Amino acid sequence: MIKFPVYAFLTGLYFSTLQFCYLILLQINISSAYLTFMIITVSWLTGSIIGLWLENLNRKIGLVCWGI
Amino acid sequence: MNRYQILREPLLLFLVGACLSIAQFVMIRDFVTILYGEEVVIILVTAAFFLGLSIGYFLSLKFSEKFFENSFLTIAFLHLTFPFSYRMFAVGIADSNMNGYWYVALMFFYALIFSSIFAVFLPRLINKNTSGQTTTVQKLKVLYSMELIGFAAGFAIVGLSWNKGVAFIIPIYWALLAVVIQLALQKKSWTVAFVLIAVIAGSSIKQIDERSTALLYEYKHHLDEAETLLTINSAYQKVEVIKDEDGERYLYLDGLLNLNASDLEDLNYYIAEIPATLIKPEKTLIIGNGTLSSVPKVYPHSQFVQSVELDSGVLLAGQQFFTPIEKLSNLDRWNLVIDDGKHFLKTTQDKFDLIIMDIPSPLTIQEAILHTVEFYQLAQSKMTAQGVIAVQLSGPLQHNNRTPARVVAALSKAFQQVMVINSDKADRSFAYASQQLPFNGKDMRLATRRYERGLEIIIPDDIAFYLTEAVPLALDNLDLVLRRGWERFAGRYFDND
Repeated sequence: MIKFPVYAFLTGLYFSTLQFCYLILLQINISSAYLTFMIITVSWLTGSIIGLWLENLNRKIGLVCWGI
Repeated sequence: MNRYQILREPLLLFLVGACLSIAQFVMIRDFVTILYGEEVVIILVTAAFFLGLSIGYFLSLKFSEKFFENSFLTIAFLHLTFPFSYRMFAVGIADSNMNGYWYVALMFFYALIFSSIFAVFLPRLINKNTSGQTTTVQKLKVLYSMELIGFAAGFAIVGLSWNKGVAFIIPIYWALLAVVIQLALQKKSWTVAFVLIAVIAGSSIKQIDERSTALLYEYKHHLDEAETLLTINSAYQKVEVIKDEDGERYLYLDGLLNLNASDLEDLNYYIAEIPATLIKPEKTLIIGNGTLSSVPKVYPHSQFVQSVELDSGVLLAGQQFFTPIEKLSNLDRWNLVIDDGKHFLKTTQDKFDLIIMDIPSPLTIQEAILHTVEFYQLAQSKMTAQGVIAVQLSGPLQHNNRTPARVVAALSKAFQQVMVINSDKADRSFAYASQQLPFNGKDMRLATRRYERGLEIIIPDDIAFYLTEAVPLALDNLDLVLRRGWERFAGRYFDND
């Protein structure tokens, strides 16, 4: 089903690292309270759903977003 | 196609998402507590959960429908043995003195039960025969969105369970699972059987939770005739109060001993009472100290005491079992805020004469951040000219690169003067740091002579000798968390000596 397992693996690794580092950064600079974790998780889920439904989202746009 | 048929698959995926969210929470909390909650263990248990998910995705299309139905039913019914079964297996492993590989095997086996089976649904449903107009991609969008929304709903249910035992959340999990069984298999007999067993198991789940927790502490922590006084999941950790046969009370956080009632006296004396007696502070800030037991010790010597504790679950345990509410009820110069210590310090306008850091050892990243140079610099900016910060060092200060020396090295980077006392009675060292300490070694000796005669006092001029090998803990240098965590984990489970 997955044509590029390495590509999928690296994407997963990238997202988990990004999520972890972003959470730690917010916890260091703002607060370690549960609200921080909750906001990140809910934002992450919302972003994933939006990403699923964006018709024009392709690798090139993804790369631009990543660059930003 | 009727409305039930149209809604069945999206609803099923919504519930699978909710179950996954709850399963992730229950599994990670319980297994972290069983294996003891250093950062290394948290990473390992989380990895096991995600490996279970990956295995589920990988194998999802390799099963026949019949095999899938049978294995799903078996695993669903195994869920009815939670939390009893895996805790009893852990008790059995501890009782038989089996090595750590068995715990790891147990964890990975339960990861398969907890997460793999839920991961199977999405790929199978997407690949099921699609009607003419519905493409596979469209189905993926709808079903995966529903699973993610379900995950968010499960996350909200987990939020409702804060400061409650698993007896609250597991029956909800079972109820969701019952609906999943009905929607997935559409066989009423299995759903009814599941619900009946769930109702019977649910009626005694509180007792099962407390008894299996007590057995874990009896066999794994070697507390004789352990009795569970409290076991709850706070927003941050599992909080447990256990009583042994001598009536001694112990507070455990994620399975790690935080304190016992006897040690608490010595800890409070050196970290709170002594500096408060010597300084007579106008304003005192206590960070941590969820039991609030330091407050009555500092209060008579300070004009105002501010407590800041992040975890309301620990506060609950403290007030029920360590510091009776009567001791705190008439303290009108004391205030309690539930907040992160860093956030409080960043936002407060006050300056403090004494800051007491009564927090656990740096075994997780969150705890370690509160022992870093950057944190101590922040604290220093909120202290008066002769303000003092008191820190417990989780062990004796020695000439090496271990935790106490690294914390003192961090303090030395942020403050001009650091004094350390090494107490045999409290079984650890304590550091007092300031830009200009308002007391010296003689004052300390005089104040403590009745409490402990052989107290070792290391004055500021002698501190540098202990730090030649110590690397200060800093935000970009938190290797200690993983090193120390791995050392403890490996020593506990894989050291045969």
